[in-house]
Amino acid sequence: MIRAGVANLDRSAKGKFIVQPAGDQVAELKKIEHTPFFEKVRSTEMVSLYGNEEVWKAFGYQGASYRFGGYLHHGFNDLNWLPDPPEAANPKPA
Amino acid sequence: MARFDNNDDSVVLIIGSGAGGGTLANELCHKGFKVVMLEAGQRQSPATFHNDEWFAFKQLAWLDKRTSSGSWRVAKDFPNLPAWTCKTVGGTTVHWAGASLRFQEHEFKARTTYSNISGTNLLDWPIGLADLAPYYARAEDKMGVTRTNDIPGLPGNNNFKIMYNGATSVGYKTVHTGRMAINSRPRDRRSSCWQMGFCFQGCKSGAKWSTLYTEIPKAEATGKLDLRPGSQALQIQHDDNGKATGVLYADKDGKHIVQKARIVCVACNSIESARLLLNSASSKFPHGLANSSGQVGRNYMRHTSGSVYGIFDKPVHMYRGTVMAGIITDEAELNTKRGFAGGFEMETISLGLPFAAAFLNPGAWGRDYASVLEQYPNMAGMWIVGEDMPQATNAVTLHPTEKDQFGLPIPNVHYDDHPNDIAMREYGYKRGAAIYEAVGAIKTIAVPPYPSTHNMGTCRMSERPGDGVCNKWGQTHDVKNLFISDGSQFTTSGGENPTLTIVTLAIRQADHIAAENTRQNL
Repeated sequence: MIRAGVANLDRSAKGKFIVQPAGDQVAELKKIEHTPFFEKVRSTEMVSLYGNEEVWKAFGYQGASYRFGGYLHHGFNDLNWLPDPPEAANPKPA
Repeated sequence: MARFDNNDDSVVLIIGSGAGGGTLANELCHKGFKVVMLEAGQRQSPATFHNDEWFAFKQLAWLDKRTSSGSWRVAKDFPNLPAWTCKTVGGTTVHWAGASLRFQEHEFKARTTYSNISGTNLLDWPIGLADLAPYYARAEDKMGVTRTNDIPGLPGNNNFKIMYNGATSVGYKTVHTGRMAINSRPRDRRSSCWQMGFCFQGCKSGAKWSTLYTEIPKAEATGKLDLRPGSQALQIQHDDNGKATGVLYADKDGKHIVQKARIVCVACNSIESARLLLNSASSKFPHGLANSSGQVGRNYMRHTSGSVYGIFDKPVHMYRGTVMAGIITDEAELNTKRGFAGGFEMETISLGLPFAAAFLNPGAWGRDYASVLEQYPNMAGMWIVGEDMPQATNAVTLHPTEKDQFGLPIPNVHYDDHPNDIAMREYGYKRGAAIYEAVGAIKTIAVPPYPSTHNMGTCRMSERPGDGVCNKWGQTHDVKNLFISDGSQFTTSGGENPTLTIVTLAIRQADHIAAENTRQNL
């Protein structure tokens, strides 16, 4: 399915899809966005790209916190651009 | 650990080890009953949980194939995953966020309160808040719910700070860090919360209540619990008199075994509980066990849900700390002036980056979506959880052709949003957006419902046997030694997260079983 899908993209793009300008690539992908090939690539890429720890760093996502004892002492309530809610609504940590 | 003989017909057999089954097992063991508990999934522990969304999903979620249909968007986005529940010892209490709210008095009288809304199958519960109040108190003590029993609330995280400031800016009055079954102080030999995040992935500190490491080991300590993980119930069997006699199940090696029992309790979560009854049809019960009403599988409810995320120009890091870190309850009160019946809670929610990519706009791709995800560190999020309407045609049915690995029909879950559900969701989206805009959101996103974690109503309680599957004790109208012990017995969904009420009903049911046993009525 992947091979055939890539071949179809190259054929449709009248040349190597990979070297087309970004705008043309998006236009080609729009045409096939409801095909099983596209959905397979999209969903796989979604999981692998946004599940990649190297990518997380670029997004400011710190991921697993167990290894350093949770965010309790690592910024779980460090937001300082709004006032702290009153203690009745927002008790202090134990 | 106890091991009872398969032919020992004096045992109580409980199917499912989650909020309902796990609690019921512990209560019954402490009353001296011998209990066999079948659990389809494997046994994990805080040591084997991972702070990793996809890993935990594969480790804990119920992934056996299901199909879905109807107008709800889940059927389009996640056609084979209508529900996000668990297949593991502890059931969905491993995954739940911990919000523990009592139902309100008027919610037990939904038919009377909202009258007969067209297209619904509304019915009053056969019980009210007064019946449950003492059991709610026992459940809250058992689970260590914050803001009850002198247990302090949890400290709020960044996501809560945004919710609080936004909500109070638009005039909401009741906003706090919730009633949570997560320890704010060490209690019941479990630690206090580390603000790890990853509540949905199994709590690695054990601060969040789960039957896995509370009810179940306490039941095992009595020497009365025979827990059998990896055991998939296939059929409930009965005798010529229509009494349940035991359960056919596939054990961890796939071997078919019959466990005899004198009482059978079904607590498999609403989809599997209904499927099991339907798959237990016989010549005596041709439409499924305990289904003379025709209501088994019907009135499936999943809460009017939806999420709102706000994007700010400053960092939030919503993923740090408890997932449900705060709540606004103002919209949950009875209020007929909004154009819909029922109320809803607004509760903070957060997703890690992997699940944010998967759920913020399922199926989306391209530059626009990527640029939304680039704002991830500056996002705050909330979940809308509100009362949805029971409809006879929203139903769990047996698939006409597709079979599971045991040769039994898989379930189809059909759900059409009722106009009332849609009106509530749209209103909730607007209120959520207003809250975030009040504290400077540069963009808000209305996110469609995730696969259902709150599954209710497929074996509902009713006063009259013709209106539902079980009576006010969860005892089926048709088979007196067969009980429904999970959220499927809910007559209506209320606007509150269901777990506290499931636990409450299980404690009450255990008292009833013991009393009826003493009276030799079962």
